[in-house]
Amino acid sequence: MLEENIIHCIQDVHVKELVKRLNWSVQIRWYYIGISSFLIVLTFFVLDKNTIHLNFEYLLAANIFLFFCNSIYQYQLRYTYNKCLGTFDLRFYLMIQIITDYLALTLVVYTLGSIETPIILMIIPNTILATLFFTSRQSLLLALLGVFIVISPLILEFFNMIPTISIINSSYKMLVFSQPMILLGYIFILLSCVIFCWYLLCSITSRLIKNELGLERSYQDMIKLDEEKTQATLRSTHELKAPLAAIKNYVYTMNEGYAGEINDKVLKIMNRIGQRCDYLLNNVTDIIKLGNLKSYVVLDDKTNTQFHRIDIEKYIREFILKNENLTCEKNIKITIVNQLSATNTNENKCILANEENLQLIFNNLLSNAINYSHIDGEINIILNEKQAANKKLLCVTIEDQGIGIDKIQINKVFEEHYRTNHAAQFYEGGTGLGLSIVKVCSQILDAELQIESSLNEGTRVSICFKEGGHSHE
Amino acid sequence: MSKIMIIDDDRDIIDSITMILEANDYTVVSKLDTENIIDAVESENPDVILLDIVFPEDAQAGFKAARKIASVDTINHIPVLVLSAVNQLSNLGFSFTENDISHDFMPVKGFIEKPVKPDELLAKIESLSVH
Repeated sequence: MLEENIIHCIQDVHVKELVKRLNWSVQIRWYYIGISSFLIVLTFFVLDKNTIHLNFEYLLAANIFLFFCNSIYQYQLRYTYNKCLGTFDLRFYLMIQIITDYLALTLVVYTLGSIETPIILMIIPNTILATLFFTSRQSLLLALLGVFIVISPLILEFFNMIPTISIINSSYKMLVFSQPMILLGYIFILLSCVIFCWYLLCSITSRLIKNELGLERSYQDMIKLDEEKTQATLRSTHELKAPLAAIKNYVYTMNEGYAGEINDKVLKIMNRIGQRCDYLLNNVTDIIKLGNLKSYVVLDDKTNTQFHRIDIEKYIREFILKNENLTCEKNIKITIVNQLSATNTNENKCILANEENLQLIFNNLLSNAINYSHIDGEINIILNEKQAANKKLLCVTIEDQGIGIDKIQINKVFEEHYRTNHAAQFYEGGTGLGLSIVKVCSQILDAELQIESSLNEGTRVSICFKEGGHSHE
Repeated sequence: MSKIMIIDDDRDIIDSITMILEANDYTVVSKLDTENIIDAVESENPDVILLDIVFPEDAQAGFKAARKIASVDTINHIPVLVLSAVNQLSNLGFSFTENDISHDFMPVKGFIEKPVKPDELLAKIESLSVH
């Protein structure tokens, strides 16, 4: 829930970290209140009151104080998510929380005999928190303020301004109070400990912050470069495709007789020009598309990808219907075989994917199956399920009875521009990039891709997607 | 007889489409850029506009022109068809659906990818019921 809110509301990395730590300190405080309350009750019943004198009222008061303050901080956190507060407000909240902790700790330290227990060292976690999120000067001031607040009962006890509390009736505290130098030494050691922690953390965090800022700058540069690259790609696509599109448009115009009668020889040449144009157009589109997809995989930039639940059977049926014209030329029959286990009559199984990559995958796989099939051939599209390492996969297998690929060459078919001689002679229009695009798209969708083939018998390509639940029809 | 206005920086595209449309009894007027687009559309008063997106001076000139046309009451009834060499699914920086809040909406009636087959072009224009 917290993560979701942070992603929706807060983009700045420092603010995100601050909110996480604020949430963390509220949680830790709840744990402290719970555990210490349990210990207070336990001690109350099992403690030998003759040897250890504990003022339970003070301890309970500290817990009640923390409980009320923490309830307010919990509410404040919700407000933080809704209002998308900036670093200044969040640091102010953190400072208030740290001071609250100091006050509660002071009461506990006083109750537990100030110097008789090491509880005073609990000041250090808040010193760490302050060093992480405030400037070195601010965090030093907060640490010194903490030491001053926490040792104030000890000083007040020394000057007899408040009653002296000793939980073990020891002469140790009397000794400390009788020798001011021991008290000063104690305060000096505590101060040194806190300042040493502050210095150590400051030197580490300043380096971390520098690295973090460097990374953030690089990330912003990368986003800017990516936007520029997208626009440059768009422009290059246009510049490369526009002249080819104009030539192809002339070919269409002439072929359909809009420029007057043409003889068969010219018509044949025009068709060849048209085919070469198609090849170039496809090649340009595929090269640019593959380049974009590969940079996406290298950057592992999945934050911009929206995965949706897609009803796979419905998608495949609609896809076949939309691409009916592809099968007409060769009179190819496509059969869909649904082997998905039936769950409920109104529910269909869905995969997690995005339509753009899905379209690229099935466009290429279906085109390959058609282009490398013989006339009057048959293509089967099989939908089935597979169980793999604690997850269910929904698989789509496209099976043709076409020219197939030699087993020795099967591993090379995903290489860019690779085409077997057999395939190139059978179908001239291929770019050798289709299966490379399918492979990259399947990586983006985290899908498993498999290919099996036998020369002159046919090819079978399976792609298995992550299951995304059911859809109601 | 319907009048079609082609706004495209590519003379060859204008010429080939003009041949097809004129053979099918359309009157064709053309413009090579998107400058003074409102005045040009108002003076020609076409029944359909075929509009390219990428122009030499601006990769989004067509998009801006479509928004301008849609903002003028006297001409925003004229259907605009986008005619582009760039695929509709490319990251064009604008959206063809009004609900997409991540991009500005391109107020057009359809998208035709170049090259276009004569039958497809004529069918698209006829679907706008102007012939």
